[in-house]
Amino acid sequence: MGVFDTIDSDEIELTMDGAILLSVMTVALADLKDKDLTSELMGVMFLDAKINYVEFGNTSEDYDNAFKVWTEYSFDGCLHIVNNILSDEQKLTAMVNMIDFAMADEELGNEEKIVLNAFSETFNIDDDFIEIAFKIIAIKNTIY
Amino acid sequence: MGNINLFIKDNVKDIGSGVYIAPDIPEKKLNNAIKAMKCEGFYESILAIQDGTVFGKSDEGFVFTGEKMIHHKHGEFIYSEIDSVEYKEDVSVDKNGKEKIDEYILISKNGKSYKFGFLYNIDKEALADFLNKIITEFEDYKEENQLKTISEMSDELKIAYLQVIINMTYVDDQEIDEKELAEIFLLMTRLKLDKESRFKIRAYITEISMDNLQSIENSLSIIKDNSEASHYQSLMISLAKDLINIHFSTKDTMDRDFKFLDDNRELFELSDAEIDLAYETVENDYKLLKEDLDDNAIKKNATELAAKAAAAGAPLAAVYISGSVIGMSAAGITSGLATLGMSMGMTGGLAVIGIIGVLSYKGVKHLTGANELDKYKTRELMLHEVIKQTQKTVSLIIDDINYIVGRLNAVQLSEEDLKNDNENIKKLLVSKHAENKKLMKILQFTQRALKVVDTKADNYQNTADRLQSPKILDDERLKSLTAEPTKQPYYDFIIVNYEMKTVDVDDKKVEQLMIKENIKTSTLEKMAEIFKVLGYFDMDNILKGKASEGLNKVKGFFG
Repeated sequence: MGVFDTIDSDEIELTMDGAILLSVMTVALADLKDKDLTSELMGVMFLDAKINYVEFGNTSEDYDNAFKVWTEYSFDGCLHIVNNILSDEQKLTAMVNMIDFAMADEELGNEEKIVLNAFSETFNIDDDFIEIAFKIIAIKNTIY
Repeated sequence: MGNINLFIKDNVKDIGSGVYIAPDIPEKKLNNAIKAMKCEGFYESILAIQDGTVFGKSDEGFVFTGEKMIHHKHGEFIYSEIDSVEYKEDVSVDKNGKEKIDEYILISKNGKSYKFGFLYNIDKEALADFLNKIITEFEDYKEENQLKTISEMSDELKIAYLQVIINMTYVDDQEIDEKELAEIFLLMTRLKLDKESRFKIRAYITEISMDNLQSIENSLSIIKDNSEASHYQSLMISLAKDLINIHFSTKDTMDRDFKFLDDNRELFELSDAEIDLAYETVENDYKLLKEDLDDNAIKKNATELAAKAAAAGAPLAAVYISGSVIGMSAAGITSGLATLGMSMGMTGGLAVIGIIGVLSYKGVKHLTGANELDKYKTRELMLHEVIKQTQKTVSLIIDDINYIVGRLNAVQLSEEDLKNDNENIKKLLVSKHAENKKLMKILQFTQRALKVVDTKADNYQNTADRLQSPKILDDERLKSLTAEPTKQPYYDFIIVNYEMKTVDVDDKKVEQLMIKENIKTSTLEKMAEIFKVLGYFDMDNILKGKASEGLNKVKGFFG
C-alpha cells in the first residue's frame, strides 16, 4: 500500500513491510546516545533479510525506504506514518517484533520503554496482549 | 639518454653471431660463461653473452652487463673506465707482395691499451661502434638484475600492479564480485605480497569508489619508478596477461573483445604483437588445465608460444614473471617447463631442482613399467604446484575475512560523535551505516570468493587425481589382480568408473574401457589408492595381466 499522503517526500513509498521495519528501527535506534547503533541496525537488517528474503549484507527497498523515513522524520512523524499504513492485525505483528527487538538483550531500556508505550497507545493495543507478548518473548529468549 | 641495459639488449645482436640475450640465454652456455669469465658474483645482471667458441661451449667470448664487459682473455672492462675504442686496419705487404690486412680493436683504459685481434664470430667494426656508443652516449652505468620475477620486486610495485587489475574489475559495473575477488586473491598469492601490502590492498578494495580510484597513469608510473628499465616491457606484457585472464575467467568468455585493455593499450605501451602474445599465453595456460595434454603436447604448445614470443620481440620468461594465470608461481612454471628441457633462463636454480625431481621420478617409473602415467608427469607436477598455490590462497582469504569482520566491529559511533545533538548523530549514523553495508557486502563477496577458490582447488585436485588412474583400463590386468574373493570389491569399485568407448587407434576403431568423466574427487582418490595397493602399475603384474590375457585367448580358442 502506498502512502504518499502521509509522507512529504515524493520519492519514498513505504509498504506494509517497510512500515514494520520502520517501527522496529525506531525501537532499535531509540537511544541515540548508544554507541552500538550500527550493530542495532544490523539487527534490523537481519529482520529485513528474513522478511524480504534478501541475502544478509544486502538490504531491500523496504529497508532502504524505512531508513530514509527514519532519518528524515522525527519520532512522532515515524509513529504517525506507521500508524496510517498498517492494519490492526499488522499493528499487532509490528508490536510483537518491536518487543522482540527491545528484549533481545534481555533488558528493557528506558528509551525503548517510551517508544513501545507510544506505539501501543497509538496502535490502541490491549495491555493484556502486550503482557502476553512480553512473557512469550522472555521465554523464547531464555530458550534460545 | 636512454638506459644502458636496454641499449645493450637492443643492440648487442649487431656485434656478430653467437649472441644470446637474457633471459633467453641457454642455461648451459650461461653457466660455462659464468665459470670461465668469473661472473659468479653478478651473474644475475648478465645482459648478453657472445659465444666465441667454434663448438658452442661459450667459455670464450664476451659477457655484457649494464656496468661492464668481460672478455675471456683480457678480463673486465668497466665502461666508465674505458678511455677510447678504436677499430684499426693495418695494411702490410708480405714477402710475396701480397697485401695483408690486420684488423683489430684497440681499447684503452686507465692509460693501458688492449689489442683484440682474433675474435671468433665477431664483426670487429660493429663491436667497436657498439662500444663507442656505450662510452660516449651514456654516463650512468648500472647493473640490473635480469632474472627477477615480480614476486621478488618491491611491494610498492606489486601494489600498483594489483591496483590496475582491481580498477579493471571495478570500473565496468562498479562492483568487485566474488569471481573477480577470487582471481585477485590468487594473483596476490602468486606475487607473494607481504602482510602490510595485503592490508593496503584490502583497504583499497574495501574503500574503492569511482571518486578514489588510483589512476592507471599513476599506477604505471609507480611500476616504472620501482622497476628496472629492462623489466618494464615484461611487466607490461605480464600485466596485460593478468588482466586478460581475469576478464576471461570472470566473464566466462574467451572473446578478445576486451574494452579495458583496448582503452588503455597506449598507456601500457604495448604493440599489437605483444597484446597477441599475452592472449596466446592465457589461452595456452588454460589448455594446460582444461585439456588432457601429455608431456609432448605441453612441450609442443610451449615451443610454439616461445616462437610467438620471439616474433613479438619478447622473451618467453617475460609473460611468466607473475607466474601462470592458472595459479602457478613464476618458479613453478619455470620448473614445469624445465622438466621438458625448456629453459627460460629464469630462476635457474629452481628449474634444476625440477629437472632432478622429474628425472629421478622418471627413472623409478621406467623401472616399474608405469610409463603410461609417466607421460603426464609435467601436467601432474604443474597441477600440484597449482593446488599448493590455491591452498595458500584459501588461508589468506580466511585471514581477510577475519580482517573485514574486525573492521565491521569497529564501525561504531565514537564517544565524540555522541556528544552531538540528535540530528547530527542521525547524520553520522547514516554515513556509518553506509560504511557498514559496504563492508558487509565485501564480506559477502569475500566469503563467496572463498567458495570459488575452494571449488577451484577441488577441481584441480580432481584433475590431478585423474592422472593417478589409467585413462584406459586393462581389464585383464585388473581381473588377475583382484581374482581373490577379498579383492573382488576393489574390482567392482573400479569398474563402475570406466565405460566402454569406441576410439580410433592407428586408423582402426577399437573398443576400450575409458575412465568416465565427472568422477568425484573422493572416488578418484580411492581409485588411485586401490591401483597402488593392487600394484596395477608394477611390471610383474603388467606381465601377469598380459599372460592372463593370452591364456584367456587360448582358452577361447580351444573352448
